[in-house]
Amino acid sequence: MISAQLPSIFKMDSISAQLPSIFNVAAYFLADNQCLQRRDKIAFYYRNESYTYAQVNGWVQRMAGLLTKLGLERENRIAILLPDSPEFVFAFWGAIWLGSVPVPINAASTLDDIRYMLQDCRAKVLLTNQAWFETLSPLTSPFLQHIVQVDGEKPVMSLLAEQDDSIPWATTHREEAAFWLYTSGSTGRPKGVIHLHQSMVICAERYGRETLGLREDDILYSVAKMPFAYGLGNTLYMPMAVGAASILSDAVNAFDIISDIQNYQPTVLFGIPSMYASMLSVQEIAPLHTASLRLCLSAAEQLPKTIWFKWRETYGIEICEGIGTTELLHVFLANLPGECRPGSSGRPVSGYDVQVVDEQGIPTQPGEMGALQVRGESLMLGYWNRLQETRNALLGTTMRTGDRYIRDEDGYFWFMGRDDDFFKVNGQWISPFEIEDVLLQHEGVLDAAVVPRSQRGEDLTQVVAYVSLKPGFTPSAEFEKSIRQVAKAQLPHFKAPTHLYFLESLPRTPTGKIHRKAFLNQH
Amino acid sequence: MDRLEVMDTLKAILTDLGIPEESLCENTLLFGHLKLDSVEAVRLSLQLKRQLGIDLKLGTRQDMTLAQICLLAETAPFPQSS
Repeated sequence: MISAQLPSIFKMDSISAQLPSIFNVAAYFLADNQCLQRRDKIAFYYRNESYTYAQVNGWVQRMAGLLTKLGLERENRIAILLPDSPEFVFAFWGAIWLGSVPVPINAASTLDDIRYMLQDCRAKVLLTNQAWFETLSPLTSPFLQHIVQVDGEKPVMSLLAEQDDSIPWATTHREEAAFWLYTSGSTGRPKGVIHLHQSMVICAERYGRETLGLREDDILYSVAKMPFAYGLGNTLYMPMAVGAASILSDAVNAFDIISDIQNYQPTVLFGIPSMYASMLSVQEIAPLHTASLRLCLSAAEQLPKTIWFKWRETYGIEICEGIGTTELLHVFLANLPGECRPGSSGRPVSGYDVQVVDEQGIPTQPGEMGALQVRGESLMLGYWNRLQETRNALLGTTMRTGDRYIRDEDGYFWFMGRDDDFFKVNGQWISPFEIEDVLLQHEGVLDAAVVPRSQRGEDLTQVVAYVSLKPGFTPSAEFEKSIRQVAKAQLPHFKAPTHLYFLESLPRTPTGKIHRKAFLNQH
Repeated sequence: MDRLEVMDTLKAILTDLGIPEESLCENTLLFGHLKLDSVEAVRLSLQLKRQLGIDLKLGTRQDMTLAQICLLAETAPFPQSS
């Protein structure tokens, strides 16, 4: 058993150094939960089913056996394009068990980006469902050898039932690539972020156990799905690190989430700002029952103060906001229960060195704005096949996040904006250029500019579009509706502008670029 | 408000969300056909309460047609407000 080699509680200094060099993180999380006290404890709830830690261990090894028979070898990639489900869990751990590399694909990405990711990661096996299989057909990746479906004529669970449930785990190195996550990034195509076997242990210990105090009797519910770094930690490895249970949910909107919370009675809710806002807005139609909740967390984008106060006023619970990145795998700045400062990202999670620096890289004085940079053991290996972007993001063991921050006298960090024009909505990066391109496809639109709007942290960030029209077209409600239809048809919902304004002409810089800052204080 | 008026109100709410009117008919499913996203579901629910006086939890696991929503609005026990 791998757990025999590891300390049950890590010391406060380097976690990585306390792990053995031969280390397989799938075996670590699964073996640790096979003791008599835990093996029959529920690890995952899914619809009307539940899976104990012993059952998960067995299914994961069966998956490892199946993947071996499909020819998946050490370091090969397997793409997982599925909603959060038991098959996702078994494939993720089963691949790592073998020393191969799972690559979860975010199903909310555009079809074009999904095709790109499947090509870019060179997956040899794709695990998906029939609906996605039909949507993506024909798949033309030269690297793809097998597509396994979770439904249809030969569902993967029936294949797993035929496999041996005792497969030896691969003797991987703790600093070996274990899995990838794609980040929406702020420029161009999604980037494959490579994480190591040790990374999940570090986040689970630093944030899950030490910061949040997660415990064995917790039931965790995450709004963010597992292909997101935030969702992967919340749903998969942080509960497993303490022997807690987690809910695998296909919830899409606030009504689904409210229903899930009523059904499963979670003790910890990992939310995102837009979903907290939605649940509050429909409270008269669909009341939320919060009696079971002892912790509410938020990350992925700035949580507006108005939502924080309204949530506490309505339900009597604070929302502990934090911030993390895909590159550092999970949260590195966090507000603690009872010590929250609404509107701030909180203070550094233990084990992370977080600094605000000036242009020379020198730490700023409290109250002075600068660039946020973070050092921590969960930092990625790099971006797949993106050397220059890796070099730009990393400075030795430190990551430049691209965010502007202020640290106050008490050590709380306050988000001030981005270094560039990109911004986050629904926890996902928005490129204004992509939206402008779509708006410009409307026959009457001459020029378009897209900017974020949030009133100094009071509200959720919204996508605002300014357009000028071609001669012969005049602004009207009908015209606005037709532009909205174009946007809706071609963009994911969170990218479609929520506000649209008509201008005679758009301000431009001397070099002819759209002068975005000129829009930021309008309306 | 009769059935026709309820349907017209419902269609007006949906077209205001940016959904083309030609895609709306009695058997149209909110999620199966219109693919309403999380924000649109909330906005539709709030407008249904405000304009038709009905409380509808628009979870994706219980998809509804426009006709089913109209029927609920017609049989709602509360006075409908505009």
